Amino acid sequence: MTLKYLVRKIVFYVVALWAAITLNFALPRMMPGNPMLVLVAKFKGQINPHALSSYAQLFGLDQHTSILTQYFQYIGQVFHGNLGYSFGLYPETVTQVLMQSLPWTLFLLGTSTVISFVIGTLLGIVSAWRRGSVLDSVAPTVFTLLGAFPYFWLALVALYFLAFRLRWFPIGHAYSDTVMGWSWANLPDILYHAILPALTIVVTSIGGWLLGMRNNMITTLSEEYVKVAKAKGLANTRVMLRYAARNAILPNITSFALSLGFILSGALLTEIVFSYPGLGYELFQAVGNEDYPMMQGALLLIAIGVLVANFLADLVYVRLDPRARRAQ
Amino acid sequence: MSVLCEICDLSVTYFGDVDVKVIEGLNMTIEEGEILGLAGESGCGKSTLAMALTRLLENGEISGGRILFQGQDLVRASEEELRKIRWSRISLVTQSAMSSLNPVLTIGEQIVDAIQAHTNTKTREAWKRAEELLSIVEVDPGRVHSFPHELSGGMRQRVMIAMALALQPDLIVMDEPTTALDVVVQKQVIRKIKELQAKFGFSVLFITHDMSLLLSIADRIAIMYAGRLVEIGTCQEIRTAPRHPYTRGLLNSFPSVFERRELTGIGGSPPSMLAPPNGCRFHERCTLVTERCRTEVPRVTNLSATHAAHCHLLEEGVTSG
Amino acid sequence: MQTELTVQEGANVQPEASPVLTNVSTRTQGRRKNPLLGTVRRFFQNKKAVVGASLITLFIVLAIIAPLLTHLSPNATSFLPLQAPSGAHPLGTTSLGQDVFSQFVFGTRETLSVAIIAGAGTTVLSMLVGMVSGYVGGLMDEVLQLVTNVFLIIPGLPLVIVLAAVLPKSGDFTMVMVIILTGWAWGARVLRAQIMAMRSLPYVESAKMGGESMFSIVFREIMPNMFSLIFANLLFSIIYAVLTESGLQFLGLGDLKAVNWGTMLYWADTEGALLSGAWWWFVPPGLAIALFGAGLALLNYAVDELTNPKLRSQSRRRRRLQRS
Repeated sequence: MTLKYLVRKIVFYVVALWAAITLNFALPRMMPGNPMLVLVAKFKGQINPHALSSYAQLFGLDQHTSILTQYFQYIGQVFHGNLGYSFGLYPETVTQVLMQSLPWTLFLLGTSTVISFVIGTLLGIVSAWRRGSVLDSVAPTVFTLLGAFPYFWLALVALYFLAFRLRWFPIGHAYSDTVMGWSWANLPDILYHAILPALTIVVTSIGGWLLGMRNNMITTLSEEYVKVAKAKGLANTRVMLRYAARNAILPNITSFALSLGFILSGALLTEIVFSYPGLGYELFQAVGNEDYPMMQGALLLIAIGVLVANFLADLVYVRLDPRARRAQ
Repeated sequence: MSVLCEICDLSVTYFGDVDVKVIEGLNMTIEEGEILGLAGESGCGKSTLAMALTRLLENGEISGGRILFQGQDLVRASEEELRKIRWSRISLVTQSAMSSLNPVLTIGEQIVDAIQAHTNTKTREAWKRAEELLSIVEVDPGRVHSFPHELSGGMRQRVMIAMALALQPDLIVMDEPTTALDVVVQKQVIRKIKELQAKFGFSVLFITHDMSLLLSIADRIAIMYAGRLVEIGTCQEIRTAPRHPYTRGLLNSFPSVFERRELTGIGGSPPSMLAPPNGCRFHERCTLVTERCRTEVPRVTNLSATHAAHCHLLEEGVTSG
Repeated sequence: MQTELTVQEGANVQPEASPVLTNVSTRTQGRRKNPLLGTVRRFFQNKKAVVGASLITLFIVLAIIAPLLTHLSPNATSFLPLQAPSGAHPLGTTSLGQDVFSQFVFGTRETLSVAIIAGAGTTVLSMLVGMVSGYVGGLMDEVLQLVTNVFLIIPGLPLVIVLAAVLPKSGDFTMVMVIILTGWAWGARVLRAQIMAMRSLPYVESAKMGGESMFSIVFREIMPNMFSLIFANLLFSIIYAVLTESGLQFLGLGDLKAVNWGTMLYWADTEGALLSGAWWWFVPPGLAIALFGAGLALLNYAVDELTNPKLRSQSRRRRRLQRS
């Protein structure tokens, strides 16, 4: 049982990784007439031969190598972290650029997703526990409505009213022009810049967690073991958290893992609106610059990031559900 | 014997599109140290009574009457008073032990939870007590660290019983505790319950639809039909001299080891509680129905100090037995 | 997410539900002449359902009668730029001298048709995969589940961004295909779970014993009972389609000459509508996306409540209890 579960999980991650890499390999080769040829021709003479051959491998410009050989070369390169040189930011490599933007995305997205998950789940627990209360009739409806708002538009409006008109918050970016990047001394400035984008992500994504958790809780509350817990004379909060919520959160963790890709998509748009220097913004810049190596690299990194986050969620799940944990 | 719990004129109503009174005007006592059996077809209100007694009704509310438990009215008790009474004085064993145990906590944690909710027992002591309790029901004490899914069905039911004993309650409500078990395991569990009851002297309200099981375990038996009590008496009285036509029907619907007879059962099915019949609720299915049964609710007729039934035939002194 | 949870609850129909209450519900339904009528009546009693359905109807009507609402062309650039709303221009003009109201109503048409087609396509694909995976089972199921999970986890939007950048012309057709391709997995998973739960129900078993074909079992025995779930899935898919479509267009990855809510926002953003304070330009399309999405979400929520008694009746019961 458990071994089968483990094998299935491993197969899943291997296949997902393989699919992401293969997709990346195939995308530029699907382009009609390979615009890369034109671009590389344009750059010829300006870039060194090493970079040139790297492009050739990444995008299949070398007509003499078979597609299969190209494929294995590509996989080899990816595993060495070699994603080629950026077009737009040459001579920086794609890996270098991405490593600069990754921390910003992790910081903004990670924090706001955790905050929204925690608040949404708690609100869901309490709404279900107090069926029919004011909280239960207001919170799910309000956050469902907010969840229907497009992230990017809410970001735009927030930017316009709170930053541009009221000047409560800075207009975009991760830090002020006067400070240079990340340091502990800059932390207040960085937090100040992160509040508004984080807030739009939190506000729009709470609804999903809330509703999911509320529905799980309602199912769980009618379970026999919750009734027995009440019959045991345990304190209300103990029944609610240790018996009901502890079980109800399990499916929510699975959905958390699986909807990460979805949430991430919305959040990347928020980065773009706020010119926040994370992966989403980088990807968007790359599209504007026709910087194909960068697009490829960003997509791959985002996919890997989601896979890693999924893996972590799986670990948490196994930790919380003894039925998935114990080998018997 | 003295009275442990007295249920007076109890009514329970479920609220829905239409309100449904699932228990109406029920009177019953539970003596100290007895096993009181409660029988009836599905939907007659047995389980509702169990939930009303523990004040754990979910879809409905007690709409009238009193439940005097050791002199205290549970219907008017506050949440905090109830919390204190629960498990320390009234505990519960439900039908399916699988669903009654929290799947993500070890059985030890669940027993310790119950102990520590009512006493100031130190954690290590509480765990020791949990192990003791398991050995009382003949489960390997090392199993305290097991999760419910790692135990067999019979073991889980024993764990439930161990947990119910944790605080030495005065009353254990057992709602179909053996229905989900196979016959052999069922026998073992029943024997264990009787043995423990004799040893510790708690009272049991034993709810089941299985009359033959009740006859073998209960001291007294109460029969419910469509939300009302129809007959109550000692095990002996119910077995040898059932007076209500419904009780007779129930007794005739399973094979007896004592005698050879034709199985007749009861024709028809229980009425919808949405629109229960007027008069005696059993009249639609009763073979001895009279005009009075259709309009007038039968009052209680005391047949002996321990035996009583609700039937017009008895009021009129007709004994067709 | 919410759709998935519905499944679990649906699958969890309590075997031990009080027979008394079961009796009640069958009786109540039996008393009404037409069960459909009852559903319709309950639908209109549900506030969320009514508000949601009204919002959606409003936008659909707007899309249909667009030419009747304005005689101005959405593409004409012949008006004074950046005019605030007035009698001549109910929603003002853009910095390029276009009439925002005309753009908005014609944009509704374009956005809604893409969203509804893409949403329907997504649902159909989800249904096919989910049904086959859940009903056939075995190796086929393992493989399809794997593919579904991979598609679920690969982040849609970045992929769509790259696809849109890489593919030659991002017309409506490309848009629809891209949305279907990245959006089907969630529904497939939900429907599969429900089929798995229903596959072993007695009436399906008996149909199998009776020798009905798989096609007939799935489409005649199982599907009708999953109507609400499929409908919820359709609503969810349309929300996804509107958000994805508008998101891409907002990033300038759609057809920039087309008029729809997303490109309106793109031009408003690029032309600095925010900085010049032209709220009438960027508020209507965004609010429309939000309201249309909210309408769908409310309807979805209501369908949940109407089809899942566990979610529905409690609040009413509680209210009564509080009164007494």
